[in-house]
Amino acid sequence: MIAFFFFWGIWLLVPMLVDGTGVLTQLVGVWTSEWKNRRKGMTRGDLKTFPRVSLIIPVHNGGRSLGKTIKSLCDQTYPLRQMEVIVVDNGSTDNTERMFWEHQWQNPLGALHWISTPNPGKAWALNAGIYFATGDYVSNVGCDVALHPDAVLNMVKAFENDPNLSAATGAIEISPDSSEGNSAILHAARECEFVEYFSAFRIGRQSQTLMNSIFTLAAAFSFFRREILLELPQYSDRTVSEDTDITFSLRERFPETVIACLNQAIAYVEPFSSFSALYSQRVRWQRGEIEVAACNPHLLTKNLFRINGVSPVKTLVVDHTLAFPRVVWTFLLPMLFLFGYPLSLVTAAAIAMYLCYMTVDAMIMANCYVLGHKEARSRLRKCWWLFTVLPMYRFILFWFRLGGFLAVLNEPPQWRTSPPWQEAAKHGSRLISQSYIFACQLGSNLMTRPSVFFTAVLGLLAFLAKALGMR
Amino acid sequence: MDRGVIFGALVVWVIILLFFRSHRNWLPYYVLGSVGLAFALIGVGRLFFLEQFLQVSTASIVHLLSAVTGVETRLFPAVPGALMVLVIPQNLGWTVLNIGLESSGLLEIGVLTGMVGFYPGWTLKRRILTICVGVFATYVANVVRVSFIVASLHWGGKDLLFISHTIGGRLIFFVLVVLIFWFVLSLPTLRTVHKNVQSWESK
Repeated sequence: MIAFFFFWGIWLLVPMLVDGTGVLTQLVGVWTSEWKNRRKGMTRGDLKTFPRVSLIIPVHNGGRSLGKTIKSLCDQTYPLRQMEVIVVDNGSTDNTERMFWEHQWQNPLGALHWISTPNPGKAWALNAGIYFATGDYVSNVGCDVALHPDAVLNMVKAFENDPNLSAATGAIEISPDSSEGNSAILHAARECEFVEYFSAFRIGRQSQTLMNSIFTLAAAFSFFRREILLELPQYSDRTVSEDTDITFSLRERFPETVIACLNQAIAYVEPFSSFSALYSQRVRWQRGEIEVAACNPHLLTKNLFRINGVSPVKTLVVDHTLAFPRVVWTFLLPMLFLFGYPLSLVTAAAIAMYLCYMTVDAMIMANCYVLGHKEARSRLRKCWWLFTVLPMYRFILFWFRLGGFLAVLNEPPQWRTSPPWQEAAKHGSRLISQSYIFACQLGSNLMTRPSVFFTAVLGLLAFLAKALGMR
Repeated sequence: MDRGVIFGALVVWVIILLFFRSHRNWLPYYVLGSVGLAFALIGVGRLFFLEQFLQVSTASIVHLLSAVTGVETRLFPAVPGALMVLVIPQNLGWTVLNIGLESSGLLEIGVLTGMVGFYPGWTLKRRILTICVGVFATYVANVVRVSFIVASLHWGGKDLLFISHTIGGRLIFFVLVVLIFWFVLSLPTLRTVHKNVQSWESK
């Protein structure tokens, strides 16, 4: 069995080891970071002054969720008079503007502005918002995000306590799945998404904070020192991931800068609405990662032989280089029994691999539980069994991400991408209906000319006989 | 397997590929294409002596290289792909090392060909050139791996065989192949993407 693993399963086993080692490294990092934070207390202490904070909300057809976002800002424990909210619309066609005006008259904020940009695109909206922002700190908040009441306060405390901190991302969490009538599979997938996000921010980003290797400042909730942000190039729409692009610009402009993820600044986002939406999101993320790396070739080999700092090559080797052989091996491994390996051995190896991944996910969930806050713990307790299906969820996400790597090669950038199953169903049904019409027309033509009909049947039989090797 | 079944499967495979290709449905197109090509190449390679060629040529090259490194080896003409290695410790004398399917590099060559053969966004000429370079590099990496195993057996004895063959050799090969994949696939992809971004930006 061990020999089998090393000989045949290497392309699955090594990525598994890469994943497992990555998780172990992150766990060491997160506990070290936790220990340091307890000593240092980045968000402890009271603020002597309350600097002005500008919160920019870029919005495109976000009428359904904008109200909730603004309300969460009105519920902040940070002095509301010191908060300036700028809602930047970029081409909405729904009731976004009406939703804004409803809140305009009843908000206790220092200022609540509405800007419309002539051009669509999030980058335009963010740049317009930054232009009008007057705060000492500038924050991007997604239009479908609800901030925890202490989020802004904790962010400002962290920045005031650490003068070297130039930008930070909040801890993004998935809101509880409140929609009813969902299938059990969709519900389980949403809970998996919750664990995925929770572990990514509580473990992954925390460990990256320690190593100062945060790759992306989350678009859902990120915070900048104004003077730093103004020295950066504007947000650009050259890639679909303007948040990663600005993070790279920040690292390039200020190589020694500190970028952190703050666990105490929580932002809640809604769970994915459908598998199509999840596919579209992951394709965009993966596409964004490779586009940003491609647009910054001079940063590619940076920190390659260092533990600290962002290393795009290391990230791409794990995400891109290893992904492609994994695609082929995933299907080749089960077929090995055709090359003489017993099916039982191949099956046992596959089960063993799944169990390994399950162990890794159980370890992640246990650590999330220990590190999590009260609500998260209660949610994790309820869905403790998720570690059994999380490897499957991650496996599905792997294929979704692969779609991003392929789309970037010859499809123009777009915010939403149709999933392959919908495309196949759409074109397949069209092909079937067209074939049916063609067959009907052909049939009626042949029936009216019997000699042509018999010749066609004989020709078809001869072709099939030849194809099957008959004489 | 029946020729008719193989032919039928091939026709169905090509039709489905054409369907996905024509509708620019890249994910199923790539998965189906790359896995199918890799599987076909490995199958054909086993049937039409490619595997045997790889085994024999690898054994011969390792034998030639071992003369440089001072490792004593002999080719065993009666059995293709067999290499006799003189094991120095334990006074074991000559030991036969068989280069089988897993050590021939055929699987990795098949995987690389499948991965690149259906890579969208690259011209056929570029894909063929990439496959040629990649296959040659994979072959060299495999020779390095087998040479390492032979040297370990020669100097370390049979006790080291399992570790050097199953773990050390495989990991060396894995690292080399990842490097090859990086240079033939990921790095050129970044250049393609950079060009694409620039062209879409200018539109």
